[in-house]
Amino acid sequence: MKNFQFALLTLLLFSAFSCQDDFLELKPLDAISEEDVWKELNLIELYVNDRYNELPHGFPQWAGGLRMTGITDESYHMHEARFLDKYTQGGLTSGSLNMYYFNGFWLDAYKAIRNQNIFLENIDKYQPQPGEEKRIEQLTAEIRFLRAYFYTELISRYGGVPLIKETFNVNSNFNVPRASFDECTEFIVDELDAAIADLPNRSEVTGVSFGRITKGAAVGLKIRALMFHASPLFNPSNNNSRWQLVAEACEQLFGLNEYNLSQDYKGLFLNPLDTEVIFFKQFLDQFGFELVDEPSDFFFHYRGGHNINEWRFPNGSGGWISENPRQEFVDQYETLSGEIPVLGYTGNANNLQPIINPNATGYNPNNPYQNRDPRLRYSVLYDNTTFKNRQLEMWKGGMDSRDPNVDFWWNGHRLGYGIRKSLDESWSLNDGVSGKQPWIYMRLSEFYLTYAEAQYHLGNPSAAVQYVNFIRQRSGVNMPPINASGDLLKKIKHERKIELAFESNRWYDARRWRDAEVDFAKDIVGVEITKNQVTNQKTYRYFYFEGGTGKRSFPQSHYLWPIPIDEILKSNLQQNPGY
Amino acid sequence: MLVTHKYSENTTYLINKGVKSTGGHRSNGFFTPFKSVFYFVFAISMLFSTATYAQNEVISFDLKDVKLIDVFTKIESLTNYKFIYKDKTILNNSKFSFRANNESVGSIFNRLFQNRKVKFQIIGKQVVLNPIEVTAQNPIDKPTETTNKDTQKFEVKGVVKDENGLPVPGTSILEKGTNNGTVTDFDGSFSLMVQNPDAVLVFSYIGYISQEVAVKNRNAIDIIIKEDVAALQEVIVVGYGKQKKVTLTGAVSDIKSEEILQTKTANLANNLTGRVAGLVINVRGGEPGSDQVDVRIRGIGTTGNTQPLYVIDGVPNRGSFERLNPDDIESISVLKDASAAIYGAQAANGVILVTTKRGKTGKPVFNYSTNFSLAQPTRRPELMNAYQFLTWKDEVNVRNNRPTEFLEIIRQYRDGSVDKTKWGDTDWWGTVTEKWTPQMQHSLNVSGGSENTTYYLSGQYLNQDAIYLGNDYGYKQHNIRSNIDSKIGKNIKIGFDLAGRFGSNNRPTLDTEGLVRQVFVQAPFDFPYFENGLIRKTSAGNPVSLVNGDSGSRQTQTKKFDSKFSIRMDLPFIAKGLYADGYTAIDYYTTTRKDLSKPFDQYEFDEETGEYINLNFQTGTVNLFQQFSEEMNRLLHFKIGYDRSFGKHNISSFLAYEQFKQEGEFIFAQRQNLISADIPFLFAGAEENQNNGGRGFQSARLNYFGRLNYNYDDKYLVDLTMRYDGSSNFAKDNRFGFFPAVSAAWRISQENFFKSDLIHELKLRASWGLLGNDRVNNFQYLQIYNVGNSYVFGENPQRVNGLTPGTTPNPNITWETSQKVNLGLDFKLRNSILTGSVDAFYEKRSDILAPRNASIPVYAGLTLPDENIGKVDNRGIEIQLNHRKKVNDFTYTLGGQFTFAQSKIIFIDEAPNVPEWQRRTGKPVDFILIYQADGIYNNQSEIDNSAAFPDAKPGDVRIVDKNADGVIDERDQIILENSPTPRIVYGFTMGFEYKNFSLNLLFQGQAQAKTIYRPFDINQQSEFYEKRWRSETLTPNAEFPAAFDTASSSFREVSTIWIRNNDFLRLKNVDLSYNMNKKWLEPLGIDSCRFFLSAHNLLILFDSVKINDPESVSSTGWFYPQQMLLTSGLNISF
Repeated sequence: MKNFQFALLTLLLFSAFSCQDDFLELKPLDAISEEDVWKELNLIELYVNDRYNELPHGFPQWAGGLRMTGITDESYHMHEARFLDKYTQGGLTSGSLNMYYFNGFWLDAYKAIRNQNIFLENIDKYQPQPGEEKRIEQLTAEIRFLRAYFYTELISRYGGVPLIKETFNVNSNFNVPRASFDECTEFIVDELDAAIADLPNRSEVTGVSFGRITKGAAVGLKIRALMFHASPLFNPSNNNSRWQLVAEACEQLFGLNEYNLSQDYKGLFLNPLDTEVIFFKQFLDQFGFELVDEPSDFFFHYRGGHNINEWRFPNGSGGWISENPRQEFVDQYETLSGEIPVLGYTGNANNLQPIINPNATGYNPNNPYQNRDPRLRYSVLYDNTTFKNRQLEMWKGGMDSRDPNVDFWWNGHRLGYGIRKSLDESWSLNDGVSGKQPWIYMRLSEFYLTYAEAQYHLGNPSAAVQYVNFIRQRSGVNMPPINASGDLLKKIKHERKIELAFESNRWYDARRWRDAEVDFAKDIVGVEITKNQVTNQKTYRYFYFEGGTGKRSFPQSHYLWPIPIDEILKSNLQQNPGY
Repeated sequence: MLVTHKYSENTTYLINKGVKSTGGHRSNGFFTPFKSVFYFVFAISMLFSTATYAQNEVISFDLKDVKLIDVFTKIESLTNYKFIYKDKTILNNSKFSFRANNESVGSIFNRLFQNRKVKFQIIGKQVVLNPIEVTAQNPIDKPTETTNKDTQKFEVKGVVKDENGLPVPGTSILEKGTNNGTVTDFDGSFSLMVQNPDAVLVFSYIGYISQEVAVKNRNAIDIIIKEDVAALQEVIVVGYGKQKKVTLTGAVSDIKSEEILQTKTANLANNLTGRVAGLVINVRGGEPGSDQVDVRIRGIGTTGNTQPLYVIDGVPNRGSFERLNPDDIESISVLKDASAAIYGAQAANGVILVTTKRGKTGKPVFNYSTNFSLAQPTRRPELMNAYQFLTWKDEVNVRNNRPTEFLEIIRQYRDGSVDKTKWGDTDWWGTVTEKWTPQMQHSLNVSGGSENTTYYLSGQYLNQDAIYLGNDYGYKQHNIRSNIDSKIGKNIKIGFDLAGRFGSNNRPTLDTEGLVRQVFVQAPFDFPYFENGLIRKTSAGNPVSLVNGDSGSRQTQTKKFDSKFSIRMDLPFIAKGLYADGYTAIDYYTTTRKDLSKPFDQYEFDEETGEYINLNFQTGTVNLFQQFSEEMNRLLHFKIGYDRSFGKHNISSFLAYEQFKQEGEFIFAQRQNLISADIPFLFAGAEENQNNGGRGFQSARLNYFGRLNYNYDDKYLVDLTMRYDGSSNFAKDNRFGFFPAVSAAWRISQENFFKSDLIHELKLRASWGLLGNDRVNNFQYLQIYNVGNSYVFGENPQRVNGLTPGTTPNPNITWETSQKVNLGLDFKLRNSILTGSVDAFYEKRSDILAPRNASIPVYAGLTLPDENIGKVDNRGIEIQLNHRKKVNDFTYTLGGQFTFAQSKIIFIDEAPNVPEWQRRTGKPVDFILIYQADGIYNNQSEIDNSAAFPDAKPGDVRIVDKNADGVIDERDQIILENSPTPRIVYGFTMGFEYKNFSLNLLFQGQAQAKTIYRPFDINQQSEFYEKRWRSETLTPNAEFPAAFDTASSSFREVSTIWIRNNDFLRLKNVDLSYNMNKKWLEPLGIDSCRFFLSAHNLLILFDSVKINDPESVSSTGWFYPQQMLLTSGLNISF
């Protein structure tokens, strides 16, 4: 009897567990298996969506991504100097410990490229239903665009890179040499040509599709790749015929008849629907701060979205005015008569004397921001300009200054200026929402300027002048036209510098022109404005921010970034010269 | 600030009340009045200590020029609260103004009584007020009634001692033929009421010969029980069974209840520190409720997961042991060598077996213990003061070619003329933390049983306050356990164990690292408060609001229910010695997390208007994040065993089957902009931007294993185990592994030729085994895709979903294997004057799971899976020695343990081109890669004549150009010989007993460990200021570089200048206790009562870390410091 009871109990014990045929054959419960993804077109589209998400942009929480202005002669990044100084002072090395910022892109780009390659290798597994072919073609073209995008960004930083067109697995042979710059360019252009055929036009991408990649974006990217290929840095033999391809690609873009120069230079950066905008990334104004766990981050940050407004607002409006445009960059904005007002500085490092351009009529050293190219007003926060319905007080002791008697003085500027371009003035710290303005990768005026540059090299100065003047003379800017006399290339470069200021182009342009060794090696000049409380008279003291000359340098090696040391140790990749 | 925590106050109050209301209860023969009262009170207090009172009610009023009593009247009129007080002195008649604006009642009380020497307790809706000077009443009113003796019975008393004259606590005494029995207490004494004067008492204790003694009308019987030489003494829990210590063949250490309870901390791991040879325990921080304890068996033997396997009452994977109630633990065994191989694929890092107490036949025995501790960091950060800080800042400015900013202010600080309303000197650590924090523990258990059924029931309550300023933060825990055994038939025994744990951890919204960092980012010249008490906004955001409760909280509640049903049947009708055994364990865990963040008030003063402006709009909205996870683990174990002796041949063997399945899931949800912080539920949040998610997980294991243990005459011993393990972590073809082990021992002392009066026991041991480690992320053999939020599309922008590939699959992934060899020697000298063991071990790990991230280039784009590639060797020795002696009334014990374990990487994935001095091969597993410093540059010519960083200046660290290429770059970094894991750990224990007093000391030490200490943010430890380089003439031999910021190469490029040695010796534990005289206790029905004072982490005898606790490994210094505890308490058994 007892034996029977025991047997029964044992049986009960066992039955507490559902007997499964294969007890150890389990499935993950937090993800989707590979097979399932490539069987369903909706899942495939989700896969493509996430590839879009891998695009870097110019508003990340910290520097990095495309937030390049702090490593150029445009501005000084007060809060990131500790990461950027290695580069701006000529000491960049290939070591990962120093490369918090510079290394990241290599990793992100190749991770994205692998994910794009996964798509291209698996998309054929899908058996399309009738009518689905076009959608698949479009998704494929989007992926090819994205892959070309990352390669263009890679070669513009590193020169020729390993061209990975297939996926590796853990047992692959990983030895891939660096392809030449020419091979990379050819690959990019071929891929884009193939994609252009299957991509929709801007006018076809509306409603919920708005934001998907268009023909225009692909042509724009092709122009960029070809432009690098034709520029002195990557075209050491100065083969001018390369500019012919650039010009043709520009004409291809213009021939789409989808884009027009904006009539609102200030507003276009907030409006992805503007006729000038070709490629962009959108954000949501998500609500609320959150306290974060990450020890690397401060007190709190925004939930989702980006935080560029708080980073760049002046301290008098609750921001940190992180990136200060440099005085000599501000000086580049012409007077209304079309002259650069200040040509340089001399004298005592703490009290520099501006060398004033005698031709710059209308320039008043005691009211230096008057009578200037309107794009100065749209792009830079300077003393007494109107911002959020008030006059900025950049002067010492003013509410936007770094004076210990001012609220949030520790967030005050160091050089006298802040970046205004693409700020959303309607944003307020008190609303507690993140910024929603888009990051604009490409807009038409860039390609007008590229076209002008190409035509200059091809010996058509009049075409070059024409396209520069389209930009200068659009309504809302209305600057006097340039002519072909004198150093036309210098004028084109100057226009590009001003027109595209703080949009990240400067770092690519100064390098591809090989101008960086001079331009980026200049010491930082700042201005301290003092206001006489009785007369309200302001005086301007210019100074070398770092105390003297020779604090900045740009060795030849810095034209390209080093391949991360870890990568060199693991592979047979050839390091860039000088690292 | 009140030192006493409000919950402890509640408990005190209720105990008083309880005694009053139940004082008249009659005893029922079984329970003395004291017992019943106590039991009742305890139950009530356990119950009430969890209750929270709604002090969240929000009211507003504004009273000017009033007395305290007016405020009471006002609050009574606005709420249902009533103020109750006896002592009218608390109503001091001075007038004041008081304003509350939508403030919670709790907060109002806090403010109202903060500086008034008034202690308030909220009981329901009553606010009970007492002056603070009044010493707390004795929590236990002595009952006036004497115990009710049954004159029909006959009382026998006595003391049980062993042959050495030492008392034997825990000896069970049973009146033969009845269920009437008792157990001896700490000093071996007992007292038992027997039915008649001719009764026979049975004395039994494990490892000793049972004795039957006839009472024969004697009232006092002292007996000496003898060690059972045949059955041989102590029994040790080993994998799936018990073995006699003397016939053990493996390297197993164990520690018993008594020794475990000498340490009184809230974390069981602390109780083992320094006491067990081979166990390397480092406490890395002291945060309540979080287990920052590194427990390693024989150091680190792998680059993979280094956690030992915890097995609680025979069931693996019940989590680790830190949160168990120490009073519940019968013993803990540590399986260090091949003896762990019976746990197969999870055993490579060693196994810790925890066995809980079970009932013994006899009358119910109650044990109550309580303790109260005050805790203080062993070391706290000492940061630069305002003067030092500003001096440092300007020195940095000068070094960076920037203009100086503070020369004038610095001068004013120096001569004392600084405007103290504008420039402060704040000790931020002192501002945001409390100097002492209380913690307390109550534990009650009862055990006993009839001949057929025994029980052990227990409950524990623990309350630990966190060091933060606010009162709400800390950890509370309830543990309950019921272990019941019953013999339900001639050959059948069943057991049912149920254990529950409820832990509630309430923390500030920012994590610990972030909070402590807040102290490092504050400028010491900022002020925390305005003169009127308002919290001031500081340049880095005032951290007071983060720790005082204003900014919200993060509450984690864990609920664990462990159950085990077991059945064992002897099968003598089939074969003598044959038995079948099975159990099923079903464990259910839930964790809920609730993060509530609130806008908080911080003010700035507008000098123009003279107004204080509240900047709370900058601190966000009321946001709620909630997370719920649950997990169910089911284990089924079935075993057939055969234990039998044939003459001198002894066999013990079994075959077993075990299966384990884990299933769980988790969900989270969040909403923003709640309508009120007092309604912390999702419905109160905005629809906009709500977010939620969830996922599931599962894993399974399937095992077949067995043991064959044979010994001849207890002299030649062999133990053979094998295990065949399957794990769902691996693909079908690589799923199963085979793990055999063999161990043998020879008891030389049993041989006829071995004749020694001195050496009573001498045993040689040897073992070999194969073990596995399967702790890696599962499903790495499959390619999976993760779903997540992705890109924003649309003219009306919307975020859409996306899919991303997970880890690149590795279809070949399988076990990590470990081969362990151990040689050991156990000995015991006459009368235990010296017992000990010495072990030497060698371990070879292979197939260690690690990603090949050192050799696979990033351009491959892979998210690397683990691969079976690593090899590590680990070797060392362990010594454990104990001495015990009694001289008249004085008994003392001395013990020592020493462990040396050195691991070395034999193979690891390394980049082919890595320089020799950066090869990890041959180095410790947890390596440090760092520049080698060679002092500080004193002048420019030293820089010009050496390789240096481009921005090097005099005062910067001189780095050794390891590869002598004239450039300092990453190739010059070296790997150090030592790591933060110590190679040597040791401990000594000393115990002294004299009459009713006993004193126990534990010293703990370690050697051969090194850690980077590089604490810096905006502010930092003043040591770096005081020892900094200033100039060639002032500080030619400076220890630390000149003033730096995060951009300085001296700081940024981590060099050996920041390395400190972790060698230390500390007085880990002191415990002084007093056993009350029996004479006084007996009338109360109490068997024993012990008071104790103890201190944990009392002294560091030597170390060189200085700025932090020498066991910390936080380079930044942003961690919750280790705590010193001063504890008092008592232990009663009745």
